[in-house]
Amino acid sequence: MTLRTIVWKEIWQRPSAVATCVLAILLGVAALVAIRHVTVFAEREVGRQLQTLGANILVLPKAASLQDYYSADQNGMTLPEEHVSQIMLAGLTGVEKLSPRLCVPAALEGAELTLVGILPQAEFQTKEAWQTVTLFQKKAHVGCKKASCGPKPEDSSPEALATQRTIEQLRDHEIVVGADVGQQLRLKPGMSVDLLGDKFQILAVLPPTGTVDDGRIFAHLHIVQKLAKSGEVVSAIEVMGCCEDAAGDLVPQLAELLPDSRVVTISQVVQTQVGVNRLMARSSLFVLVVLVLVGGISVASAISSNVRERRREIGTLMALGATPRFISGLFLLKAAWLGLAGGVGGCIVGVALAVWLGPQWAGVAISPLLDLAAIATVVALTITLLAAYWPARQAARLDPCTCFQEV
Amino acid sequence: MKRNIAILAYALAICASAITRPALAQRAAGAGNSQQALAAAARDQKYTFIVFYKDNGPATQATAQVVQSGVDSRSDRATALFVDANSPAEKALVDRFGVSRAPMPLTIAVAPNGAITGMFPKKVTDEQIGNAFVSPTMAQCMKSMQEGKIVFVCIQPSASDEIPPAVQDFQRDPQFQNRMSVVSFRVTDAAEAEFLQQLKIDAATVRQPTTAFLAPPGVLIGKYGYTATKAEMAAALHKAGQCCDDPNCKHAHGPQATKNSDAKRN
Repeated sequence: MTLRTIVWKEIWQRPSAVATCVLAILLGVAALVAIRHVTVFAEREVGRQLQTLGANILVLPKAASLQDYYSADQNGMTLPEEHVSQIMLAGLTGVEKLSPRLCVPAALEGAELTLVGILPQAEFQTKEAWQTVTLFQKKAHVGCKKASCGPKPEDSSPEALATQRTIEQLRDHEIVVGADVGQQLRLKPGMSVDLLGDKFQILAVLPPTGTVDDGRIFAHLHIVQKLAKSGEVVSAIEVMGCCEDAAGDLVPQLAELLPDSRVVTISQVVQTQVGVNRLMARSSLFVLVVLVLVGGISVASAISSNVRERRREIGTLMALGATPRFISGLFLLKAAWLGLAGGVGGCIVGVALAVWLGPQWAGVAISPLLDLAAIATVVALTITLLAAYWPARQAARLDPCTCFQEV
Repeated sequence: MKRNIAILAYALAICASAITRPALAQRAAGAGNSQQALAAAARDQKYTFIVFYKDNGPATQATAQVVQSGVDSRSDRATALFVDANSPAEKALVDRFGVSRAPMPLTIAVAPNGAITGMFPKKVTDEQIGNAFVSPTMAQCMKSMQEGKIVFVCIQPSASDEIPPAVQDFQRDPQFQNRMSVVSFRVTDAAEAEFLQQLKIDAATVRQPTTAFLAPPGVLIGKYGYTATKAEMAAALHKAGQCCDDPNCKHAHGPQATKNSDAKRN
């Protein structure tokens, strides 16, 4: 009988004790893996938002709450569309583009979704001429010391709405469909659909963005206002600054220009998310400590009681010629199997939990991180071996004569 | 008692509205005639102050009063036009200036050449009305920039001086010839003294033709002497597409800057 056969027999003979031990390790690893996955992907999302939207500013209704940049326009409140013209007329330095949005609920083929009214950039060309009246009044922007918005290629295709958050051209009865809506309802460019009692032609289906925009349909702002009977209002105005410094300078100017609105930068929006991420990171550290303590104590206790229960068997084995190394190897191998089973099982459960709960907890799509899973398994295995080392050593030091005297 | 006061206040408000509404309506050029009134003012070499409004509220009344008195005191060179932005007959004018969703009342100053020289949302002051009058050359510059063109302002020390060679090179370049405008004036022209001051050019130092280079929406690219080259000015135009010297700035990227500049100038 080999060492491995003896260990397997031992495991199958005491399933409840083994299951309790594996469960303790599995739960600890699962919690650690799930929290780390959510934290890592939430941090990546924050970084991506800062990278792509670092110079962006949101003008929202005064009482609007703020949790996520992409869904900030879905607050159920509105502000006058004339604010867009006011910003244009003010000729503020550093304003690159403006994107007013109005979100209204709509249904398409039985599916509930958000219809977003947007204003194509081509309609701002007339208004650009307004800025000539501030000739010789404009001060040059000399900031950009902390610029974080790298060069971005301009794209005038409708699909650019996914990345640039603006569209160059959009006719009255054209719509652009978000990735999820397009996939769910099998929509293709050129198809006609009915929305809010009017017919629209699909101009494009956007590529996936991993944001709420995937579940939205975009139409011309003035058509959405007309169909929703909302009047000349918008839910939010996105101001694209030319760089992060310009955005910082623009906030107080916009707040002064539009006192009835709330003006926030992307940095302020992600601040909340950064706080949550920090809490999650600390939680995962706490879970790691709990894993070490609970898992380690559980394994040590299980192996110790196992050693106590099997004193006669150990004595018999030693009498038959088993070396102390063989005896300690017996318990360490058992601990290794428990650690491996708990670690791998915990990783699978943790990743599954993160993938399932991630979008709901942190609003981010999560995919498995293999290196993190591997590290968690190795950590679980190491802790189990360390916890089993002392009882295994005690077993190896048993005197077979003493064991038989107890019979 | 309180109820009676409220009824009295309401009645007074209705009376005030009834009195002021016809006043504004009378001042309006009449549905559809606004375009003609604007053209007539241009023919007479007068500035037109157009007041776009959507209601007859206190803000509209106050603006109308300021504009009317401002124009009355400058009747030799200005006229006022009151346009109901909600009127279907005024749609062409509203669309021309793109003000259908602008904050109202909105006052727009239009020079005789059609250039917009001032836009004043919500309220306007007599000082702003006075500042909306610009020199003829500046009005030409503004008109060209509002059409998306780059402008070369040639300041001539004498009547016989020719256009600087660099500007002539731009005129010959097919890439620029339809997207540029050249305006000239004599450095001694008293009417352009303020424009010269705004360009920060000292008339006493202009011995040779000097070029001020302007680009939409209202940026002074630079000032160049007679010997400046086209390449020098084109490089300055390219650099103007970026908002600062930081390499991370999206405008600092070469092709992006060019494309952006082009977009602004189209």
